[in-house]
Amino acid sequence: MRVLDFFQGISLGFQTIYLQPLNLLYCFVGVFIGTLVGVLPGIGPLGATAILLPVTFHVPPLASIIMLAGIYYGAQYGGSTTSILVNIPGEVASIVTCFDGHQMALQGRAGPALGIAAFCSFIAGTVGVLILMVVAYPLASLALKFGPPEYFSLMVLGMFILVYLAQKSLIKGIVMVVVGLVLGFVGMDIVTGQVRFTLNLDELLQGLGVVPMVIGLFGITEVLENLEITIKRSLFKPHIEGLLPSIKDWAEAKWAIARGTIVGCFLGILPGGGAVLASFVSYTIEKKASRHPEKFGKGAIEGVAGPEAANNAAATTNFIPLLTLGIPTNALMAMLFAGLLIHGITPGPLMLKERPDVFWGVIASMYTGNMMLLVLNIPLIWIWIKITKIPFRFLGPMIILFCVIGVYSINNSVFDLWIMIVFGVGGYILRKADYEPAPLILAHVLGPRLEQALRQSLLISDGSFAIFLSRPIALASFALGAFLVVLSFSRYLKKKREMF
Amino acid sequence: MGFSAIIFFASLKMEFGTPRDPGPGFMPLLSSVLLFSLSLVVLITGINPPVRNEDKRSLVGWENLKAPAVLVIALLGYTSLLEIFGYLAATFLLMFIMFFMDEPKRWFTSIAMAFVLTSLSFFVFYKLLGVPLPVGIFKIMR
Repeated sequence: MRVLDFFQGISLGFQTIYLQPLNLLYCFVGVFIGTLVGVLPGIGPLGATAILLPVTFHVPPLASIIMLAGIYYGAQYGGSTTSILVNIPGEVASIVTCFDGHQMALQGRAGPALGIAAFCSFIAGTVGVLILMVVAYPLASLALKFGPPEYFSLMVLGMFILVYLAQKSLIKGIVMVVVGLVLGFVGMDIVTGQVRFTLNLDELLQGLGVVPMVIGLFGITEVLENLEITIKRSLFKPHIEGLLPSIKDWAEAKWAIARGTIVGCFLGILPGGGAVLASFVSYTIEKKASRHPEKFGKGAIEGVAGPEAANNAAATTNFIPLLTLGIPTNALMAMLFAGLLIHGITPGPLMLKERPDVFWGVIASMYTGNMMLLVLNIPLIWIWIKITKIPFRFLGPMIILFCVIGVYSINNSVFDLWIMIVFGVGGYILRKADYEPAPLILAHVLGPRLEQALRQSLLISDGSFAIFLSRPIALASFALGAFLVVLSFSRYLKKKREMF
Repeated sequence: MGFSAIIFFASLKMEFGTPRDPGPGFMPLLSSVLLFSLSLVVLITGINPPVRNEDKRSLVGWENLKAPAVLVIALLGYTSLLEIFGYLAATFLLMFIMFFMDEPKRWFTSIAMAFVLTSLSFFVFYKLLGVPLPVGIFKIMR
């Protein structure tokens, strides 16, 4: 890629954002909703994206992805607010911020905690966007040389990594992947046109809609779980004086910000990686790197700065595999992938050539969105403090309302509502049984492409599976996958030995 | 395991093909076999779960099921009645049930909140955003 092409792309991106007020508006809406969702426990960025996905079908594709992307990285900002003030993480990646952030608030240092979280997020998010810009073109050029065996192996690796990182059981994670694949077979076979598993229902000829599924699994299930438990909120009334960290705070946090940014940028690119993993890894690293690890859990500013930088950096670099390779690496990226497909845009290496306005527009929107988030989270912090007090008995009905409207409006079909309910109840039962739904969604979205890549690979190789061993990238991907399986199995055996 | 068995037998009716030219039944059949095997492993490992003496709660955690169960039944009823009664009536009932479930004594507040939320959502989504919602018995709202 020439330097001139690079600057032309950036220029195109900023023109797309700033000369089209609609895109700017959707960027603001996305980051605002993202912050809101991050602040509110009970609905996370996955659920919010699932619920708002149908709304974006009625807007241009660039505005759609700008808004959905804004929800994702916006939620990383908002999640830290409730973690620090109320000791309840607004979303999963902010769990770690509770450990030290709330302690800082109890010590009368809520302002610096909130301030450093916001500034770290901004710095790391901006670095993440820079990396996205620099890496995208070379990666996309490389991806153009990929064939079906490479795509098949990368998709399999992505699912393996997601399963390996599953918080609970590896076997249950693989079960979810296979179930997701099977659900992806419903409908018409791409190659032969044969109808599969439709139960003679015309509505299933196009397959199981991903939107009702995700809204059921992440929207309805969340509400069902929240109805079951009562979230007890801290009675602590925060007194916030000044949101700007002092020079001493910056001095203590600077290396944590740097390390967190690097960790987040790296883990965000990996298939299966994401903001959650990045924040936990960063906290562990900061504790190990600190000269005073005993301070962690008692209000160490590095315990806020590092994870906050990591989760925002990862939330940005998560887009690299999606936009350049066309491979979503987690459930939220899978939803964005599905959303772009519905708009007729296939994410991947050709998107940079065929739709540079979308690619560069998203990048420019991330710069803009990060700046908007700094404003939303520093001077306007009072709005979010008020919002943390909204009880779930008001939020729950509103979430259900958005779910049913969102699902019904896709096809004006009650059938989609039935799908939503089935997956809502199914998701609730799965979570009770310690099955995570994220691998299911990723596998469902990737399934048809995975099957197509496998069948094409076997056609090329005349039926020989050795093709996956003869291609370097495919071989490396499978080798890494096998290594992860061995690692997980040894971890499992170690646990068993400790029990006895 | 039941699910994988269903998929397995349904896949047998499709052409499996050959490794050189996989048919539509190729992946589903292999997936169902894998799923069955994994489910068997989960079942076997689940027969003797680790017992923690101090933890007397159900391993699955089925406490406080009443509210989720009521919501699921309400959603099923809502979906059945949506196109008959229309969005306004059906949604009002659903919202009322959700608010009432939380505070049964304050039924008037529940009615008021359900009315406000339903009307507001109808106005925003149907009138302002043009989202097609079933009108049902309230055809005069068109």
